[in-house]
Formats: sequence, structure tokens, C-alpha cells
Amino acid sequence: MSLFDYYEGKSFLHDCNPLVKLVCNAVVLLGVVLARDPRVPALLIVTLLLATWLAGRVPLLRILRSFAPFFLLGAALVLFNLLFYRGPRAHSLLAWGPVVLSVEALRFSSNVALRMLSLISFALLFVSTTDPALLVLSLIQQGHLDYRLGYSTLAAYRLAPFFGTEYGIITAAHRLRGAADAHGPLAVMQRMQRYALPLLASAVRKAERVALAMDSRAFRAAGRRTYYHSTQVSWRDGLLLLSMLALVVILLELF
Amino acid sequence: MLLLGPTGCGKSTLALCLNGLIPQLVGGEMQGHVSIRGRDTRQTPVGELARQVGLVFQDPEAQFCMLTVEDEVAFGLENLGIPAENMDARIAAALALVGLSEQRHTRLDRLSGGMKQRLALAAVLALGARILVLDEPTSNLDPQGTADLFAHLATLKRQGYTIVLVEHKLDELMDLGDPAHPGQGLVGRVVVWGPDGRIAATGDPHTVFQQQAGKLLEYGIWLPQVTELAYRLSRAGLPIERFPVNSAEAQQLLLPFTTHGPGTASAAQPNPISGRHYSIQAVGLEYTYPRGPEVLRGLNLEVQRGELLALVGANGSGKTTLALSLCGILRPTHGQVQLDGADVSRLDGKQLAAQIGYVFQNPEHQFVTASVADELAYGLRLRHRPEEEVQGKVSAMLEQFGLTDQADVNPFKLSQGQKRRLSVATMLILGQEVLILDEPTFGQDRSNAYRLIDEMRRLQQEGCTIVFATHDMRLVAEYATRVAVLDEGRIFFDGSPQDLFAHADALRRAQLRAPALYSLSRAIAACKPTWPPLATIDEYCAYLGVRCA
Repeated sequence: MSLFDYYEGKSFLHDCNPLVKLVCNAVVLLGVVLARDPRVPALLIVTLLLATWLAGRVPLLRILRSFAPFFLLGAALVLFNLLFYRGPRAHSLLAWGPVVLSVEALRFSSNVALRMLSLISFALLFVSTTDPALLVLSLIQQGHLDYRLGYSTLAAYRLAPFFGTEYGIITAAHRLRGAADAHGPLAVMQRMQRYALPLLASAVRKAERVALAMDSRAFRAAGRRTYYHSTQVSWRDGLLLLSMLALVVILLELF
Repeated sequence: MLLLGPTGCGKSTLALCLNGLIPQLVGGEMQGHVSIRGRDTRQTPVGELARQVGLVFQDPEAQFCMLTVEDEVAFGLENLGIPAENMDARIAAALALVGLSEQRHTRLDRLSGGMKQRLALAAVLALGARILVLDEPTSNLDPQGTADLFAHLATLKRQGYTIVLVEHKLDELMDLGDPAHPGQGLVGRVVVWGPDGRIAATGDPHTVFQQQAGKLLEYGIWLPQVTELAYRLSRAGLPIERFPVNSAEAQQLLLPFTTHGPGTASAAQPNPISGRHYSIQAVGLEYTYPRGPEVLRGLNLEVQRGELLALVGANGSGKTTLALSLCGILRPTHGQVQLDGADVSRLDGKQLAAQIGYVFQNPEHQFVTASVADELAYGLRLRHRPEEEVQGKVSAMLEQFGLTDQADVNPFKLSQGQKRRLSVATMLILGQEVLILDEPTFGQDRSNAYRLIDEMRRLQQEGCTIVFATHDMRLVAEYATRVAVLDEGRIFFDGSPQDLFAHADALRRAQLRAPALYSLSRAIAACKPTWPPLATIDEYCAYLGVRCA
């Protein structure tokens, strides 16, 4: 169970159409690409995390905990770019032997990291508040995705944790045969090769079983398919899209 | 109707023929035809057939594609193009039929295995199917989950549904009565397939089990234990006219018999325990899965050399986790496991493999090479043993496990029973003294299961220590020298199988049931107090003073 996962609940964001949320993602992406000032992605991050908390009713602690590893990654990115910055350095901040930190370097590196983090923030908002089943439904109903592809994807998503468990068992089984002690890149490659066959065999078998079970219940059989839940586009989605557009435009105008 | 047959005889293939997936969607060649209510499955659209015939498969994990109970039932209705406003009532009705109304909005990953199988049933009932085909639906379930599913099938049969069941847990099944026809069992007809894929016997349960018991045993098909008991007793010379198929009949049959043997029960198994030497010692084991539940909570367990210990408990009670911790695959969060006095967490893979063998539920998991012979030789070659010694040991093992003809075959291409035997053989070739098996008889037909268990017993008598996790109480009764019941991460009961069967509370807590023959002897004792508790065919034979082959 990962924290970067769907958080079951009821909220404004949970009720928004997943497809519209995807469109909002594109808006954020556009804003990030166009921004020249690091304050734009920085403010986007704050707004998106706040929105996940307030409009998505995801517990703040959970948000922070899932965001933390990416934040550290961002910090590492800043540090790396600071040290290896090769652009013009007009304004030196700090000089220590051969290491020179300049305003330009700081601006460049924080820009890179903040852009990445703002995209992560939206991903967090999206994943926490979007039921995967509804995402597939809206992709089919509003996005005109082929339903066969949509449902197969959902079935595969359901099986994903199974492969994690299966992989764990296989590694353990091979370890007990004494087949996992060797080190070095060649041994690792051989090991991966050995894991692949049982993993693939059980994956194919599972997939085949699921497919038979779905076909037994008339999947793909009738001409027209109906939907028990229908995802709609409502005033909420308009509001979400408009506020996201407004946010991005205002930020770009300001900085 | 009950379908019986040895592994690989084609039962699952037949199931797919019944709803038209074969030949319409699955490739291959089919001769002859199947008609469902007068309509040929070759021509009737699969969508139409789905309204008539519903299939429930063996693996509860691999027959769903949605995330919640309600959506899963809706899935089939959507496929048929049922208007959304009509679905609500149909979903509710289908869930009520299988007793899942309260779980309507539950996510699938929070259901137990038994609930999942009932959901699979609801999903086909919602489509209007009146013919239900179930392909070994209980093989992943614990005894309680099995009993619940059977009870719902009985209710459905009473309501006029046609049920075709492929199953080998016959004791529970045959004891279920048909409330609509008192005196008649739930199973109206039995069809038996031979290993050649042809029908070997068909008729009502009495006829089939009475006339074909010997043939069925020869094919490696499980019989109800009471039937097998009567068959063996009659072979030993007792005058038995009619074999019973359920406990009630067996009770009637055995009541008139008086004992010819020793007046007391032959105490279960002789326990060849040598001294007080501990093979495995687990002290204060705690295990919590990362971000998951706490599975073991301060568990203590000692296994002496030469014991054959059974680990039993409900699904999810921690049997597998304990088994994996005992052999050092899982590192307990707290506590320690000692193997022959050495802390397992300090042994590396090679040392571990030399001391302890572990047979996983799915034998494929442990295969590391491309041929059966190499598979056996692997552990020896890893230890740089001389090639003559390797060849000698490998051919001896191939012989012993009946795999000589398959020496060059890829392990993945073996049959299920052969895979299982190979995985045990690879685990024994290094001469390990401790062997741990997780559900060794899972999904196996009778002859494969017994072949394996007899091998385990032989090893135990040679002084090996064997621990196995199982749901099969018959196995426990016949083979275990000791049994430990897991409940909520601790050992709730630890003692002989006989003591466990007498301990109603422990059985209930662990959602277990005493084996059919034990319950039978208690039922007889209720009328005839001199009957001792007996749990296996051998014990019955001894008590009745006959020699059974």
C-alpha cells in the first residue's frame, strides 16, 4: 500500500470528472512550461497541495508524507545544478575555493526543481482524488476510448499488486535454493532472467483466467454496452477548469 | 450434478464448452456439440448463452476486473446492454442470493476468498443464468468459506437452479441434504471421468460410489471418506452390502458392528520422537508487514527432531508467514528462530539451503534451470560436488520420485503433480533435515497427494523434521504427529490431532472442522458410548479388528 495512491472519500475534487482533471493537468503543464520565474511553479505547488487538502479532503499529514520524498529529490536536484552550473555567473553569492554559487545558478536550479515538483503536486492531487474505475469510465464515456481497451486496463490495474507479491515470493524461493547469493552485474542479470520465466508464466496464466472470466460474462458480446455509473461533466468541472486557468494566467501575468 | 475426475482429464475444458467460449472464442478443434435448452452453443451468441449459463472459476483472485462488489456485478449487466435504471434491483437481488448484501459497496481487495467466490456466483446470477457451472470453486478456501459456499449452492438448488460442480471436497458436499427432498442429498447425479478423458461412470451417488469405488480409487479420484472406509472394510471381509455416501448413512451402517479388536482405540500414531532434541525453536516471533497488518504476535513454537507437525488455521491467520519466518526468508520484526541451535538470521542463502528445504504452494516459483535433471543437480553443483556424485544422486532422485522419463524436460512443461514432486525432490537432494511445505496437497488429485505425503512420512521416519501448513484435516488426522493451530498471530492450540478434534473451541476459533471420520465416530458414540474417537480409516480397521490393505 503506497501513499501515492487513491484516497477514498467524498469531496469537491472527488466529484470532478477525471477527464476534466486531466485537462487541468495540461493547463498546469502549459503554465509551468511558459513560466520564466521560479515563483510561478512555487506558488503552483502551494496552491495544488492546499487544494488537495481543502478541496480534496485528503489529510494534510498524508499529503506531506507522500510529497516529502519528492521534495528531497528536488532539493538534491537544486544542489546538483548549483554545483555543476555552467552558465553565465554575473552575481556571485558565495565563493569558497573553486566553488562559486551565483544568483543565476540558484535561479536556474530552483527553476528546474520547482517545475518538476509542481507537476508532481498535480499528480498527487489527481491520484489522491481520482477513483481509477471512474477514470477509466470517463475516458470511455467522455474521452471516447474503446471500452475494450479501457476495461482490460482496469483488469490489469487490479492485478498489479499481485505481481509485487509474486516477485517477492519468487526471489525468496530462489534464495532458498541458494541461487541468489552471487554478486556482480552478470549474476544480477542472470538472476533477473531466472525470475522472468516464473513471473511471466504466472502473469500469462492470470491474464488468461481474467479474460475467460470476463468473456463468460458476455464482455464484447452485445452490440451496445450500457453503464451502471455514468460520469458526467457538471458545474464543478467548469469551476475547476476555470479556476485552474485563472490561477495559471494570473501567476504568469504577475511574474 | 457433480463432476469427478483426475487432474488433467479435461474438466475445466468442459466447463468452457458449456457456455460457448469453446469453440467460439477459444481456439482449438471441437467435435460434437453442446446444446443448452435446445440451442447449439456453436451458433448461439456468447452474449445469449451468458444469460443461461454462468461460470465460476477456481482462482478467486483472477476472475474480476472491477474494484468494488457492486461494479463487479454490474459489469456483466452492462455487457448485455441492460438499461442502467434496471440494474439496481438485479444487483441487489443477486447479492442477496449469495448473502453479500451488506458488502455491496466494499472494495474487492477487502473480501475474503470465500466471499470472492460468492461474488463470482452473484455476478453470473445477475445475468439471469439458471445453469451454474463451478470449476473447483473451493480449492483456495478454508473449511468455513467452503461450508458457506456449499450452503448457498444448496439454497440455489432448492430454488430450481441447475448446478454442475467440479469438486473434490466430497465429505462436506455429500453431507448436505436437499431440504426439498428429505432423505435425498444435494448431489443428484455423479459423473466420473477416467484419465483418458472419457466418461467412466455416471449415475446417482449411491450407484456410482457403490459400484465404482475401486475404479475411482485406481483413477486417483477422491471419494467421500465414509465411502472409502466402507470400501476398505468390505475388502477386509466385513459384510457390507451398500456403501454409505454421507455420515448419516455411515452411522446406520456401523452401529450394529461390535468390536473384534482391542477394546480401546489404537492410540493415534506412534510418535517416534528421539529424545528432547529441538530442530526448530521460535521464541517471541512478531511479524508486521511493511505498512500492513501485524501477522505474528509473540508466537512461540518448538519442533522436535523427527516430528511431522501440521500448521492449521483460517485463511489469513499467519500460517504462510510463520512458515517463511521459520526458514529465514522473512525476518521477524521481533523474536528469534533457531535451527539446530543456530540463529537463522545469521545464515546465508547457501547455508540455509543446506539445512532446510521449503516447498512453496506454487512449485514453479522455485525452478531455476531449464531441465529436470539440471534442476536436481543445481544445488549440488553450486557446492562443487564431484560430477559422478551429482549424476548418481540425480538419477537416484529421478527414480525415487518417478521422474526418470522426464529428465530432459523443461520443468515448466511438467504436469502439476510432477512439478510438485520435482520441487520436493530438489529440496531433498542436499540431504536437508528440515522440510517445510506450504499446502502440499493443494489442488492435487488423490494419487498425487498420497504419493507426496507417503514420501513425507518416509522422510520423517528416517529422522527428518517436517512442518506443513494445510487446510486438509484428513491429512492432519492421518499423518501429523502433532498439530498447531494459529489464531490471531499466536499458537492457540498445540497437541495431538486427536486432542484437537475433541477441542470444539479451538476448531471453531480457527474456522476448522474435525475430519469426517472423527465426527462419524462421535455420532456413533452418542448412541453407543463404548465407541472410542477414531479419526482415520486405519483406526477404524484396528478397532473393528480387521486388516485393511
